[in-house]
Amino acid sequence: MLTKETYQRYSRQLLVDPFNDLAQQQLIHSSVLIVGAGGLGCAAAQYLVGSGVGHLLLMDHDKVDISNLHRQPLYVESDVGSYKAESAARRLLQINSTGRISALTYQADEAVLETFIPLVDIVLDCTDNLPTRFIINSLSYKHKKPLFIGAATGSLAQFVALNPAQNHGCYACLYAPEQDTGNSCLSQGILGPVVALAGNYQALASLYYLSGSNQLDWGRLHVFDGSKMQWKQFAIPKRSECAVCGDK
Amino acid sequence: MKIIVNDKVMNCADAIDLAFIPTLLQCNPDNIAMALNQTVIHKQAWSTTQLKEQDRIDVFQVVAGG
Repeated sequence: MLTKETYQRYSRQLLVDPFNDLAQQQLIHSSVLIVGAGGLGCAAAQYLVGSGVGHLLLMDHDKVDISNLHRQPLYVESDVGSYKAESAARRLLQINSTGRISALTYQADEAVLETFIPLVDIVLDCTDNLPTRFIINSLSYKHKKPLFIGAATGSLAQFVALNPAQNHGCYACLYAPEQDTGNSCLSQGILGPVVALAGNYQALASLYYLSGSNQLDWGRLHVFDGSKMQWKQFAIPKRSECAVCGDK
Repeated sequence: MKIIVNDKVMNCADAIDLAFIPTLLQCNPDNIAMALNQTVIHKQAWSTTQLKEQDRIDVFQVVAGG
């Protein structure tokens, strides 16, 4: 049963059919690990915390730089030089102080991710490099955690929702390690609204999954080209020989 | 035969495989990913994926930033 204060806070999303009291309760009792507190992580975190996710774990070892501010709206000029995870946690608690937020200033390596992924209901990959993305994919499958992946550079954004319980391909079925071209926000630049689109897709899909209020179309790559204002979707089939999700 | 690459009709020889597409587009195969008829084809399978008349190929950049 939701309290009067809870009803007031979440009244506008409770009006959305079929989002109901049970969906809100499930959100309040959910836990989410966001790996990366850059453009993707800022966009996803603010909506998940605002919507009532009970425990958000936000991991990033970077500090806020002045060049982040155009696309990472959880930070302000006075945060420059501070840990992103800690600055973001402070701002997120100002949006919604009813939930719990853990600021994790660790580098997202295999040992650290092996510690935290088993503790949460879902994982959001908001990182900025292919090697870390492969580790997150592998550990999410190992621990059977749904994984919501966002990515963006230049005018391009991508989103994938993966569920280890479903029969589609994983991130290692989408890309090969040698496709790590080094393209990044540093080399190709990034437009704020483009990276926010991918982060918002991650937040929306997570919200649907955690609340049980909508069925997701798992295992599909969503590709956005900002220069054409165009989305495309592609199925990601499972590769039988995949070391992560295949028949081994 | 005619194939459709990124929404453009292109003429190419019969009996080509997906691995030929980067050559056709003069781009580095490590910089791109490809989908055939709305299904992603992993890079390891490009050379064993034969193309047919009217196949639709989408070539897109590998994006990992955030």
